[in-house]
Amino acid sequence: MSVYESIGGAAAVDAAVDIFYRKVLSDELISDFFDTVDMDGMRAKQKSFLTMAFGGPNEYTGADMRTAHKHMNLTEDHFNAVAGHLVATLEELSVPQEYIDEIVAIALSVKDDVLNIELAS
Amino acid sequence: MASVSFKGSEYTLLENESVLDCLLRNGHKLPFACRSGICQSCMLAIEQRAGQGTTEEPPTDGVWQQGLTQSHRQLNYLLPCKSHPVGDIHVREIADSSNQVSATVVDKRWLSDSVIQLMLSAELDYRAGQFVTLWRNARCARSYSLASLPGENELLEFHIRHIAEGEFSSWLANCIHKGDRITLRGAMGTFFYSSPTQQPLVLCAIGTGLAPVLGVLRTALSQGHSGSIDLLVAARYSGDFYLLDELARISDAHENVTIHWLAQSLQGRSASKVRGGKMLKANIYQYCREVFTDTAAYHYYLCGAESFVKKMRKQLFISGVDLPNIKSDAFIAFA
Repeated sequence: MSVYESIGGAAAVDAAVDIFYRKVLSDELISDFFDTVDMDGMRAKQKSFLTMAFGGPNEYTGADMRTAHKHMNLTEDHFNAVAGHLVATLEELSVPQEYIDEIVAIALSVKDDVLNIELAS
Repeated sequence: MASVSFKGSEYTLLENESVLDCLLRNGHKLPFACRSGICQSCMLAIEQRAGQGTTEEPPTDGVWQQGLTQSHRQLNYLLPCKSHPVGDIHVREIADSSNQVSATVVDKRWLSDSVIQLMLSAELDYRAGQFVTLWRNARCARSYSLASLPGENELLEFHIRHIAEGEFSSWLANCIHKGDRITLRGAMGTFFYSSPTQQPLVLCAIGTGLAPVLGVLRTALSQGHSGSIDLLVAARYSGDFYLLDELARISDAHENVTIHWLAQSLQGRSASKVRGGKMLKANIYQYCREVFTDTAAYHYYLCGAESFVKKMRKQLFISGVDLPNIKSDAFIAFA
């Protein structure tokens, strides 16, 4: 069973999205990236991000991740801040540590794409 | 490469260019106003061409048609200001004027130094708080919200800020008189009363955002709303407030309604009790935080400048209010 199914699937995403969204909006380092008049659209984006991070069904590709974040000039600090809020959200929902570890691993797997770091070849 | 065909010519779209911008660049005189997919004054239709499968991205329920009615979607209408095709599309002007209404000016008066109250008589299917687009001519249109209640003497009420040099509002202020006719299209938008009758409400209005908020208030009261209703009206100067008597009357007649007048500067007045509420020197964000501490207990209706709606919505959401309980209507300045 995937971590997504273990923690409750779509219901887990629904439970997490508002907690997560409030955390990133309250964090001055990254708030601006999430601060838009179209909050419903932004919430929908975060649901798909959480679904992916939880190992659920998604159609994200590395290229999508790159294109979506390319113009934001993100640094490692930004990425770590989002990851930190993800972990805090999961802890608030009492998700067992082993699942949190798995989710963090999935999030870390897209880090180079999000920060647009080219693979050393 | 993406292209758009219109009136027999085909134009190549520049990178990131909308269909509207492309047609304007090529000299077509199209009406438009907000360029944000909100006012709908630039609405066109997709032309279906038999036997040609060139439309790679047909109209969808996405941003091209956001805010359009179901029937407009079915008619393949689209908003060219939000359309970024990836293939070739053919668009045409909307020939029919099915949702276009001719209205008669019944009254026009100044509510304050800068706000005109316009009363129009027209047959229109709408909900109080929605907006319509008013047309000066084929190329100049602006969107305004409805403060009136449908069915109540059949008059449409608008609060229109007169902007010096404003192409539409100056025309309205100087050239429009009782008995004149104005074309309008609508009604559009989802900003209207839709809460359970016992639900405590907080209504927030900045400037002429009071018009649709008043529409919400009037609807709530006409449906016997029994929960508390706190109306926060905010302005930079106390002299900008308008409709004080009208709101005092409403508040006198309904004990669950409280009006809070919040000015950044009281212009010599001191904080005072006014009929039906109070007038204070206060910042609306801070005031909201301090007075409505149990934030999630309310439904919110916010209307005013985009910067206000965005900031207030964010504040409320962070403090624990769920997004569906925050209804908002942001006024986009004409660009």
